[in-house]
Amino acid sequence: MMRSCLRPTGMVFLAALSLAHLPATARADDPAPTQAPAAAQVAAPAAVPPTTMRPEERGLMIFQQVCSSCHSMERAHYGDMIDLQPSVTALQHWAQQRHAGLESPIASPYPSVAVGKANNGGDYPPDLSHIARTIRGGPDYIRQMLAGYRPVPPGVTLAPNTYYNPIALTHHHRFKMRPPLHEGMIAFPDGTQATIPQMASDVTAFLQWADDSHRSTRHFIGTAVLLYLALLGGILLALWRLLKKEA
Amino acid sequence: MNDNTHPTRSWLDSRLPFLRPFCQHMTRFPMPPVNLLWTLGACLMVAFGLMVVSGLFLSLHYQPDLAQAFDSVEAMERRVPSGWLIRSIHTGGVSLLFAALYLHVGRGLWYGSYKAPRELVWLSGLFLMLLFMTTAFAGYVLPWGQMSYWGATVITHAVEAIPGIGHGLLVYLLGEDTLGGVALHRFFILHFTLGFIIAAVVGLHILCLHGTGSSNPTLDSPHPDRTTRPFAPFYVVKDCLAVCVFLALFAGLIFFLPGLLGKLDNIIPANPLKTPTDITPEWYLAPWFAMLRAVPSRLGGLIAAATSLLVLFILPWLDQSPRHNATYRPLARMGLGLFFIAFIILILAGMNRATPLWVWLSRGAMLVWFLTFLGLLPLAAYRERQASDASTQGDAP
Repeated sequence: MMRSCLRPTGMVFLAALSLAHLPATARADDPAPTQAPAAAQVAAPAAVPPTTMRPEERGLMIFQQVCSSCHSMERAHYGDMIDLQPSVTALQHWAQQRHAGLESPIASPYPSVAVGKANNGGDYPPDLSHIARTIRGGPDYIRQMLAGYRPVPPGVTLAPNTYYNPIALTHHHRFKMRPPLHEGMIAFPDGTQATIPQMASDVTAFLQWADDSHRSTRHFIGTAVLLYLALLGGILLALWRLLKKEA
Repeated sequence: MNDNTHPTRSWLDSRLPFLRPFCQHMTRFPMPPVNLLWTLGACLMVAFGLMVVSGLFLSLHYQPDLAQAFDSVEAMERRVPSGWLIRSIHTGGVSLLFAALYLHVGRGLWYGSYKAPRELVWLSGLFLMLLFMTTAFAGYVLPWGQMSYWGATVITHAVEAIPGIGHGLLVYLLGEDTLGGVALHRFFILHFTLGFIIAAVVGLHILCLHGTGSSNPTLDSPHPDRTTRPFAPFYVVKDCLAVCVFLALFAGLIFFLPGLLGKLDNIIPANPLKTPTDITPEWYLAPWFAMLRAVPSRLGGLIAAATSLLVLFILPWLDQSPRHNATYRPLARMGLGLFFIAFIILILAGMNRATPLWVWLSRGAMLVWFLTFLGLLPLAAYRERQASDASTQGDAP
């Protein structure tokens, strides 16, 4: 009796699980990369401009054009960005520009730590793989800090290659990262205005995604599992009470 | 019975003659009227099964190599299909497993399940607990993050406190002077092998239990209930129901609150040149870490931590009272209640910075630990035995 009750619920669960994989596979199919590498060097292949973009998708654009010129994201490969940039050709183009392939880690542009430090006032740009989780203050700090650069107040003197940022936690607001974001520096295909607070928020969303890229799938599967267990638990509870009464 | 005539059954019966009596024993096994705390064993078996299966899949992708260990774990999280799911089952499962394990041991303490004739059940169970602790410790080293490296460094160097042979033993165990590639490979083999050894000891534990049967929590109450029920179907359904709730907790934790389980420092690769600001173990090993820190001498801490486990092993002989259930033993009830509070304090102390407050709290908790098992429980047993002798003598004339 129990077995016949379990079978349909099990099917529902399996169906729910297989649904979880659908969005990812549907997004990955795009025209095969037929363009010659030489042509790709001239102009980035323009994919059909999406009408709406998720914040983390805009964030990837900012990371590609701004952050990655100093920071690495060693734990992620170029190909891992397929969830945010469904065009394989565009990703290949980006990787080739950095003398890498889709299966290479997003390495630091600096040949050594010493060179990285020398170029950034003595502080090495940290790896961004898990920065959203590991930095003190978390995503809120990143968002505010990126938009937190201010003109130097009177009475404050800055060393060369140092920038005034009252939000920054290191060196008493004398920050070594040069202001990365400037109004209108990126033209988003979805028409979003590239204001500094907007870009700070988008790039933070991207860094959160990079740290925990399975978040939405995890919540979906978690909900399915809990629903399944609630159903199974209900059946078992009914059966248990039935057996209790019998004895 | 109808299935006596089934050709497959009779074919199996003539070749595996023990199978039918075994199945009958398992389904008809007489169960006393036990409460919901007796379902924790089933939850533990399911948790352990999940750990073995997820662990096997993880081992297919893990590289026990200094240069590749951390990256192979990150690759599981990002690139191996469903790797993040399998890994979160494994890393989250350990917390759930230990929560159920400690409740299971606590239930055994409260209801006197360690007493005659169940000493072997108790001893095999404690041995399992030690195996689980060792396995969990070895497993925590494998991702080779900052906390893996520094936690393992602190704990392995506790061995150095053994006088005379300490340093030599440490070098012998690690395979080199410091924690490095050789030790990492050894930890992997240890972790992998212990999983199967645990499976065997679990079998032994259940074998011991089925020799004597489950203890009856109502025997010491004013209204003892000596009725039994066959294990199937009532207790099978009850266990399944408990497992269902346990899995729901499990799913809630790994799918919705993964941040509660992982330490931030462990997503930073191990760096022998940079000590993290706080080296704290996972919560399930924290009580013994707190003991190591609470004793000013290194050797003393090691002895205290080892003795705290040893007193549990000799408990069946320390407490020989005829009464089992602490609910009806005022002195034992007080002692065990204090012990449970002390255990929680030790967990918190081990997870927090060693400020004077936490060090003194853990010293107090250790005192409670030893006083309960070496003082209060034997005293309670002595008084209860005297009382029962007096009552039998009083009945005789």
